[in-house]
Amino acid sequence: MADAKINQKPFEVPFTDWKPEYLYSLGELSPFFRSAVEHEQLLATKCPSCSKVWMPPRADCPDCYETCDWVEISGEGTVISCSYCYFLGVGVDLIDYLDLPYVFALIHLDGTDTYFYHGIKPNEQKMGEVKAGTRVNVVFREERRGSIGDFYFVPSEEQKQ
Amino acid sequence: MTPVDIIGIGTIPFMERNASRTYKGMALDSVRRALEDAGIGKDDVGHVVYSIHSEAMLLQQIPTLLLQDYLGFRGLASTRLEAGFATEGYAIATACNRIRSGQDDIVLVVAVQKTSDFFDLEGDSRETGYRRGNTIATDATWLQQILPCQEAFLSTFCLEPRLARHGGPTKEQMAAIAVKNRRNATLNPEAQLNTVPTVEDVLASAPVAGDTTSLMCAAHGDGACALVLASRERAAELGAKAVRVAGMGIATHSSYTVDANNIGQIVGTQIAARNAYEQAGVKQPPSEFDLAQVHDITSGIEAVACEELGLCGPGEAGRLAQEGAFDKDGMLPVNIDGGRIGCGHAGGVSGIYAACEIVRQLREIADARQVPIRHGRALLQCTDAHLSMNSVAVLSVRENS
Repeated sequence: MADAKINQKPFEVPFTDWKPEYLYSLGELSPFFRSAVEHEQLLATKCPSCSKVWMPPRADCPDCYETCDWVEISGEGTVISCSYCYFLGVGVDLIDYLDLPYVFALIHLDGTDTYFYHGIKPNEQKMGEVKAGTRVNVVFREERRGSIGDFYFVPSEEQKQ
Repeated sequence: MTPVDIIGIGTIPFMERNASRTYKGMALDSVRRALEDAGIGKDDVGHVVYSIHSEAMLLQQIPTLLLQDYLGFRGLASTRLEAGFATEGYAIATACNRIRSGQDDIVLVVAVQKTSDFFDLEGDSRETGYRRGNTIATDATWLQQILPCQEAFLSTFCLEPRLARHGGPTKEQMAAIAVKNRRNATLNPEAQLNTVPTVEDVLASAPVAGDTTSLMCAAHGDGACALVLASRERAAELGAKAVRVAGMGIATHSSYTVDANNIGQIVGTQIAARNAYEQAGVKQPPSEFDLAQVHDITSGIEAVACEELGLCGPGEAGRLAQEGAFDKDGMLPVNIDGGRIGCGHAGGVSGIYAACEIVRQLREIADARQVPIRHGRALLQCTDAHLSMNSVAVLSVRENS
């Protein structure tokens, strides 16, 4: 009797109630983001023991386990490697100010010892200009909230013009 | 320490979306097959290792707790592993360690993942839903708000510097690898994709990041599979047609410390391979294996992984692939089941599926895609999307016990 009432077709239900919201604590990295938001100044960290300068900054040196010191950096650097990207994920801050395609890059920021991932806004008239060796500098967005997407990079030549 | 054998495999087809089964049902389907293949009952299992990558995609923070009950393993302890897309290798290593330590003589590895329930209801899109879900698999502080997609990471960190330094893999070579895996998939009835694009089709498909196009990327979907591992003694008792885990290496390297020492490489795979080869006594990697199952999250990464495994020199894998060296009838067939690009990809599952394929090949029951077994050895490699967590296993049939 039950058979007639049992439909085996998958029953797919939208599940929209689960929208997690966070009050995400930046903890020991707070100085980096506060400095970006309030002073448009990038900070790195330097280990007092091995003198390595970490970027992204690390409050604790993973090699020495020493508490690192905060140091100011210029926000200028050299592209080590980059890819033009044609697909931008959903819910990513970059989507607000970079058009596709844009450049995702590993940047060696001056005065640091590691490479830093970030987005570069290419000059639309000169597509393909950004490559390994290109000099870039940081640009801060008008509205900053304490996100790695509060700033981005542009080719240095373009900025001077 | 007792050697460890794989005595049972259970697979179900990879599907772009499996709406007719929940993740629990999919797990049970594969476990039922694995136990049957091993010729044992549920009560023979001493421990269960769960290879489950993403909780978010299952809408379930405690999948292990629920699966253990659903599968009827009441009273039995379990372990869950999570190591990105290398979860599978870490799970196999953990199962081996349970047996080697003498705690258990039979361990079940259960891999299951749905990726397609993650859905962008506004955009009515499975793809953007998956991408949104994937975002939380990156560093919340430093990457989530700037990373466009994982392929951008792979291209920028690995493929572009590799190409600059070693001349490969080129875009055309990456396309050739994608075509190879799609061709292999047509011989696998469990594969998600069963058509073969041309190299031109692959090159003309939607650009994603750098030289990587959409047809060079893994076909994510829903999948499950299971492995039964046993001590050598128990395997012999059961008269199983066993495949020995002759070498197992796992290694983690940097995820967000990037510098000149790791860019353009998969350092963790180099380390894991060294350890696995040493345990198995492998001296000349390319000539000692009958097949290799290599992590093709994109076809470019497959090429780099082959090189890091010592199957050829740096920058050479793409050219060799173009020449057919990694084809079914080539020097060393790579991803004969179709790999993640052709057969299907679900984090935590694909690598276990690859292990199952190796067992089928070494048992010589792989039907249309059977490769000649001359050395009785095969290679299994996994790496996560940060190329940080890595596993390499040497599986063997002709090991002297």
